[in-house]
Amino acid sequence: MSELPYSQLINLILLVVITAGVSIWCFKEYFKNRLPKPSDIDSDIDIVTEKNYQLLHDAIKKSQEIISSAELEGIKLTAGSKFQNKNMEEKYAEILKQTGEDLQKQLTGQAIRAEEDFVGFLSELQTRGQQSQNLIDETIKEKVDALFVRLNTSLDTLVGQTVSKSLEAIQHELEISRQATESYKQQQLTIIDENVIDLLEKTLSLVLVKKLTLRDQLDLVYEALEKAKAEKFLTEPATTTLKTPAPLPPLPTVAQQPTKVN
Amino acid sequence: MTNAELIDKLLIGTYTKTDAIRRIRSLHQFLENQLFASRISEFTASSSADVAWLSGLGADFMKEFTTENMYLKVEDLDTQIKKIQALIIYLPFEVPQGEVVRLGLRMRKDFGANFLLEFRFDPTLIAGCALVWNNIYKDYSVKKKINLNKEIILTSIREYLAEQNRV
Amino acid sequence: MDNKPTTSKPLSSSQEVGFVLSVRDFLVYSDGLPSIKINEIVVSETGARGWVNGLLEDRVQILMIDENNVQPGEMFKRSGKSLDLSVGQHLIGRAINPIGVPLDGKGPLKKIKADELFEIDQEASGIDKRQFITDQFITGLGVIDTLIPLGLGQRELVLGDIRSGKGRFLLDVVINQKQTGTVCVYCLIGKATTEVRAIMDELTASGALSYTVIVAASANDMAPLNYLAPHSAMTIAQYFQKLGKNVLVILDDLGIHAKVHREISLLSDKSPGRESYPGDIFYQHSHLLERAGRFTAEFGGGSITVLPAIEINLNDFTTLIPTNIMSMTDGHLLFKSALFSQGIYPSVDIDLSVSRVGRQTQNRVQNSLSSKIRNILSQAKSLETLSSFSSELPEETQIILKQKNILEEFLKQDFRTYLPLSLQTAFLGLALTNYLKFKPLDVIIRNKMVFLKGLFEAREFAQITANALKFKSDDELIAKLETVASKFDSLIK
Repeated sequence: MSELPYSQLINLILLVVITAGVSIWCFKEYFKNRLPKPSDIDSDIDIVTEKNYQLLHDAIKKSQEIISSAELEGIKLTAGSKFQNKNMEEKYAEILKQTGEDLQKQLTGQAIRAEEDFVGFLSELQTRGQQSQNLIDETIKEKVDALFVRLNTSLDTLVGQTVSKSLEAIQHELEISRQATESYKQQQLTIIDENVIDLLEKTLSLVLVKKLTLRDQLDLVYEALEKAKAEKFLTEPATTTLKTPAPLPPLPTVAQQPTKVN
Repeated sequence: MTNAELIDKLLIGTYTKTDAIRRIRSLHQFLENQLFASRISEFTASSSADVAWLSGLGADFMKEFTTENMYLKVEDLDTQIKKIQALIIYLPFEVPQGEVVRLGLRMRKDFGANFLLEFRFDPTLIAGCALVWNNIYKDYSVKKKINLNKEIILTSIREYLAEQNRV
Repeated sequence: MDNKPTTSKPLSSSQEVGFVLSVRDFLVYSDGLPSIKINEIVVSETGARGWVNGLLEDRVQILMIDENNVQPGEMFKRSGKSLDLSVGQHLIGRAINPIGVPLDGKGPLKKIKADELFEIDQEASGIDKRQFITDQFITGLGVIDTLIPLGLGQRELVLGDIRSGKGRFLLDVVINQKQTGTVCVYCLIGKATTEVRAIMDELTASGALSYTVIVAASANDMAPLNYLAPHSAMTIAQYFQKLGKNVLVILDDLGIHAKVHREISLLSDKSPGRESYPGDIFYQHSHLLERAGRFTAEFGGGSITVLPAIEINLNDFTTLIPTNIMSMTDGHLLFKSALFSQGIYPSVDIDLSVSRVGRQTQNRVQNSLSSKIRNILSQAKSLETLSSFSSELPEETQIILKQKNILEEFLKQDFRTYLPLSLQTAFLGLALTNYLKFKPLDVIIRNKMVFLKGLFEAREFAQITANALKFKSDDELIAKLETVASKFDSLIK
């Protein structure tokens, strides 16, 4: 708003300047178009100059008047606009304040209503929740009961199977260990038998050495040799030399014809 | 004399292969001494039996050996004697020489004049002997008999123990 | 010839005997024993056992398998048994010598009636009992499973010079069989006793002994035992193969076995051939290795995969034994001590190693990935020589050289690690993505374990890794990895 009188002021100043410029140009044209006499030139020049000075003076005076009136106008406008601005500001402030209060009232009312709605909603939820909780509890109880019943029956069968399998395995193990014990016993008995024989041989070798005379020993040797002879053990020794092979038969030859001598 | 006749002569009174090889060696030494030594020196054999055997060979036998053929002939005789298969007898005792002769004569009566024996000592046989002929080993010892009659012996022992327990 | 179990004959009342003519260390010549057969056992008067190894015109050649001083003139009797080994489930987890005596101090072997006696030296099965090799043998080591794959039933020679990491590699392969159900037979020939002990302890500590049998003949055992060791190992392998199992046999070291055979042959006056080895040295190894393979269901199913090892001098590995065994195996892995000392493990020279049978067993994704990797490595090799002449390399060359460095880093693996096939494939596929192509090399090397863990654990990658082998080709795998590779940026340092 303060811009308006300012722009008007500028317009006025421009107008004055233009007016001055136009009047100067008119004066120039006027004097240009006139053909001055050489004799009258000097006097005309003086007259013209005088007139020019007078015009200029008038123009300046006019322009000064215009400028001063423009300034006055400008000041008036500025003051007026300032006053209007001030009024408008007060008015707007009041309107804003009013609007603010109205809005606040509205919001508060709405908030209270929303809160009431929300409380109602929560209580509704609570009741519904409680209902579904009760329903779930009942269902779970039923299911768990059924599960327990099934579990009991399967456990019974499982235990029965395990018992029988364990018994089988234990019997199998017993059988294996019995067999192992038996074979170990046999092995040990065999070892003991061998030990007994070895002991017997050792005892005999110690005793017979003392008891048997050379004669007795030699008799046994002769007996053994007779036995070997009887069994035909002492046959011809295997020959170490190879037999010479039979001579090869002579190759057949073609009978030669006697050559005729001419 | 042929080689066979020489061997027959050599093996008279020699009943074991060890003796035969030893005696060939003595013969070799003796002949070397006789034929090549610069002077006749006293010949000492390993035993009086060997000396007796050498003298028993006779002049006819010694005539067969000359300076040219001695080495070859002796080597030949040695090879032939080593080829003869001897009956190996494993005994649990050491055989005295007299018994060796008697055994040797007995075997030669049944199996031929050049039959040779070889004695080895094996105390584990207890009594009796084991024979090896043609690379076959046969056990006629008491040890073998015990092994063959193992079961009977063990049964008797068990019966005896059972009786003892009852008592 | 079927490998039937043998039964011992009852002793007759008279026994064939022979008397020792000469003794050369463990080699005994005896006369007599008129109807003895090869591979029979004879027993001396003192109870020492000998194994009849040869029948000459007038004598029997016997190799002593029990230590004893044999005297000339000593008697040897026929035992009626042949050289056989009692094989059964009781051998798993035990260490035995080649004739079945336990070495681990865990008491006598618990035999059950079902255990059978098998001849140690058996003939290999014929062609009609064998099957084409189609399944891969997984070692758990990326460089082997991807670039030099092995098949179940293959024979692959492991050769390298001293301290080249072969021993570690072989142990790793055994330990990585943990989840596969493969039975392992580790045969040590002529190794020092401390080394045998160390390997036993290593296998026990890693839990590998629960599916392994160790057959060991140490350097202080008699030469015949060292000679028999690989044969016993193969006999045990054949038993498990007939039960339908896959068996891995490691023969460490066949070079020592050849030397032992040479020793025995020279002592028995056999004519020496090239490098003084006997004329039948090729046969000795070939008829041993031919017992491996993959077998038909009628013959028990299962397979025997053999990894014979030889220590060589890398300056000259064209000597007789390595070249012989190279010609009778289905490929070889060459280990270099130079690579091992640089910290590269497994220290296999990829260019000089080959697997003739493994390619046909590989999955198509792995196959194409492996060809790609080999291509890059060979290109890089030729470019490296060129790059030494010029200071500025074109961008493509730089990329190839960088990829080669990345691949070499990714192919390295720590000792005692196992990478499943799918993870190996995904990991190597990642190395070929553009994502890593433009990353700085030091960053890649620093974060190698991050990449590996990410591929295995991170949600974004685990799915791809699990299906790595199911893609149509390696390009598809690489493309899939490209789409999610940028998620590594948040994990790497």
